[in-house]
Amino acid sequence: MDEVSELNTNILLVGMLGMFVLALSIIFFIVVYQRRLLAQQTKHKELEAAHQLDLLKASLKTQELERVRIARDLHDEVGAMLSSTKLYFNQLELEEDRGQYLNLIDKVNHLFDETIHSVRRISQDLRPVILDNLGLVEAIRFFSDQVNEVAEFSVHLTTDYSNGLLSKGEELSVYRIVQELLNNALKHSKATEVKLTLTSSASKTILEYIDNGIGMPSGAVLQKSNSLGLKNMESRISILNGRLEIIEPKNGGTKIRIEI
Amino acid sequence: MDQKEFYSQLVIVPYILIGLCLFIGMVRFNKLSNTQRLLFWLILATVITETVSEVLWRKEMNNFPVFHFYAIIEFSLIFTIYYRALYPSFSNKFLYWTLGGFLGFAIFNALFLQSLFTANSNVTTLSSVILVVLSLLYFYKTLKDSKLIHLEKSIMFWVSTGVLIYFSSSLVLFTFGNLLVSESISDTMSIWVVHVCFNIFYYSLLSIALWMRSAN
Repeated sequence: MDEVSELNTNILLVGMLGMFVLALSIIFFIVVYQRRLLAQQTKHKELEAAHQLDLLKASLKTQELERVRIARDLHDEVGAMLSSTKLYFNQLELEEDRGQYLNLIDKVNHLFDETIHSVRRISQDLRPVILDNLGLVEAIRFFSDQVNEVAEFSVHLTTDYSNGLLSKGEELSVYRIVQELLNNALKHSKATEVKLTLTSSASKTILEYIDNGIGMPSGAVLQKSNSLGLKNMESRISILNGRLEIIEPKNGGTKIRIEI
Repeated sequence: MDQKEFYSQLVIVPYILIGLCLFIGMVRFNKLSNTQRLLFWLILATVITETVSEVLWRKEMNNFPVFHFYAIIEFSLIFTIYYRALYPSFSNKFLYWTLGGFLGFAIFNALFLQSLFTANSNVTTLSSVILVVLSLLYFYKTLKDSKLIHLEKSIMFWVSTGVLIYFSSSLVLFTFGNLLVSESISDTMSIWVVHVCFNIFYYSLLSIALWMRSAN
């Protein structure tokens, strides 16, 4: 009986102390695990904040470059043409020969046409009028046609997007993204064919870009690069609460999928 | 100092800690959060229970009925603390059924299994199991939510640490409590010494929880 009761005592004591140690271990594990989890989250948030800062800087830089470009366009094109026109006007006052006079009038008219064209082009760059008048699909089609005229590749646009699914601001962002994609293709892709697909459903709009060019650096390299164009796209997509996916097709080229 | 003398001195420590908890709760009552107030009511219930049972014991009267009621009050108060911490991560239904089930079992146990004048080991065992599970659910929720920046600054962390350590360790004692009453345990003193140590641990952690500046 004594041996049995001593065994019972030991079992009870070991059981109680075992549970105590187990509970302490669980708490220790939770504290350590939670700290690691929070450290990871903090690091992730810091990286995210740094990335957002990069996007903001890229956005500001783009704005500055855009202003510089507009200033240059106004100064070099519109300003120069208006100065020439003024000179011709001054000459008109002095011109007595009827033939020369009419010739000068022609030149002045031509300069006015050029100036009007330049102003339209600058205005179109700032805010595409076609986007407001005919909608996103026609604006993209118009821009693709313009690119087709100068590029070594041909752009094929497929779409089932119905104008108005996105707000005006969102449509402008999508248009800018398309501009960025096609400008990048012009500069770097060496592609002969570019496919653009714009599809939409009630819940999302998907823009897909595929080319058969030399492809892009891998995702990680791209993230670390200072590609202003890409950061601009990311920034716009981030504002739209969208998602950018850069895919490297097995048969080469580039595939970019943007989900909004 | 022999074991009995050591025990008789050691057993005072939890009472001192309970008194400390009560003192902290009374001094800081207006500053206490809702969770801390529930803890304070728990401490007050403990003080009243200990006092009444001591009086009954001195008058050589059976004091088991007091512990029957205390088990229900203790469980309900700690359960309410966890209800506030776990809802809405865990469904209302689950929490209500747990409380209702426990109260139903406590009444059934008192009426048909262990009368008011015997030890209510069934109820204390069930209570311990549920409270251990609730404390583990709280820790699970903490890891899942990852909201707290410093665990040690959370009142619920100290409460849950105390509950998990005390009730998991005591669970073994409550489960095999009947052995203590019978002759089949040779050294009940060492068992009670260990249990008093858990008590000291428990009330120390509760006093920290009551002392902490409320964040909620």
